[in-house]
Amino acid sequence: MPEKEFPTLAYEAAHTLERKGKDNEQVDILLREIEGGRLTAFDGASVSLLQEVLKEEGKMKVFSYLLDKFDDIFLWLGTHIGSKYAGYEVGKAVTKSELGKEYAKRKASEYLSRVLRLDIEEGILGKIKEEIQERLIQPIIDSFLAPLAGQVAVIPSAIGGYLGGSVLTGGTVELLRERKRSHGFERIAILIEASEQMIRDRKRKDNTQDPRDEIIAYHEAIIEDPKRLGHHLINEEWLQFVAAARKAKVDKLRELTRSPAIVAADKTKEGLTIQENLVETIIHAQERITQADQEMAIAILSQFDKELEKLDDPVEKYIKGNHRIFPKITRYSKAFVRGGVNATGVPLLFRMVKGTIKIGVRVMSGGFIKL
Amino acid sequence: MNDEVSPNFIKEFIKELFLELSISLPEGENSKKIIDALENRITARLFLEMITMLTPEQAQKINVDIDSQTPDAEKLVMQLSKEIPYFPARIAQVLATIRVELIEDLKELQNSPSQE
Repeated sequence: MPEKEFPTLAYEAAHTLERKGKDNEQVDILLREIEGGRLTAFDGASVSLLQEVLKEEGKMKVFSYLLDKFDDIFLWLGTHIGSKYAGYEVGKAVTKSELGKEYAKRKASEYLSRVLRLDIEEGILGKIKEEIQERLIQPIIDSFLAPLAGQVAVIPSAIGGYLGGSVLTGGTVELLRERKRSHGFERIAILIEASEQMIRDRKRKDNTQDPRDEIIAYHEAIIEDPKRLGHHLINEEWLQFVAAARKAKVDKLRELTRSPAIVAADKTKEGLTIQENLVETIIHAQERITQADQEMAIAILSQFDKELEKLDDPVEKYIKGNHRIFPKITRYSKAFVRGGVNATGVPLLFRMVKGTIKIGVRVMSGGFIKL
Repeated sequence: MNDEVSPNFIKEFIKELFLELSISLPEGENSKKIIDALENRITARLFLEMITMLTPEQAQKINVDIDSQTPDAEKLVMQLSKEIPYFPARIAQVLATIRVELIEDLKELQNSPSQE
């Protein structure tokens, strides 16, 4: 069976992903180029095309798509490369995964040299290549042979797994299977489910209260009551509850920014134009959303604070943790996030694609395009 | 710290989004206030998402660091991120999700009438 070349694999990978229903005109253009045989896995011509496309509206969509899908593409490739080498004999014992990795590394470096072979000073080129290699390509290569397809998996031992899945990024809360009666989580689970359903379906039965308001209020009430309204929640239950309450808060706050009727009518101040009023409303919503996220971060951190380990009540842990962390969180989180984002290849790629880092591209035909 | 790599990526991200959505605000306070507010929102969300990528043991390190006399958040996260599987891809995913949310949330600014 003839070995499939990297370009064909990339094409097939991109097509497979496209079939998953991504509606994106710009991506169609790229795919058509692949079909036309001109786009051979990210060579100079494809980069210049990408640049043309990126000048147009919706450019971030393509960027996000590519960045989002890079790991999927390599994962897909990894699976196929792995199976291809199933019967391969080498002089010494070599595992499938090593061969796959070597192949991918080679192709990734070829790709890098082609795309980045350009007319910039040696020093900068070297630095960019190194950064991309280390921060973006390498982790993608490393994630190659993970047994998952599509979305990046939630690692069970991580706190996100603890929270039952993609609670934060919009997935449904997968509630704990075992609910101990004595904890009283069942009542809360019902509130969570009602709120999640409201957020998902965007409608509620007439004349009933907004379930989002209910869970938000209940959450407040439990914090205020030293007896916790009779509940004896454990850490995980508490965090799931907090996550669901946060989601409800954020959902309501985001609504504020959207309906023009609400925006125009709500709290119109003397002397403010409509636009000023709109901006105020949006800023107000951002501030409250920020606070909701900070509170949740603190709720999580306080559950894993060694100093508070002795306490049984997760709410008490939260109250104490909040006291300590809240005054510092804005500043701390800024530094943390700055470091975290810089530890990835994202800012670099972002700027390359935006053209902030000026590089030129050697096109296949021998011409030269300034990006 | 390595500021050459990213003077303020999040602010750039926001400004790029404004450009894309054809949002232009009159010069001055409004513009700065809303960008700052959005920056804080994105920061808070990224911080929260990063924490959920950690194990409880790793999260404890943050507690210790925040409480210390000389916190060094950037150094800590650089260390921790090496231990987090698929970190760059996940950060990119979070940013993509945030971007989608912001597009919805800022829609009204696109349509709003210009200042008198």
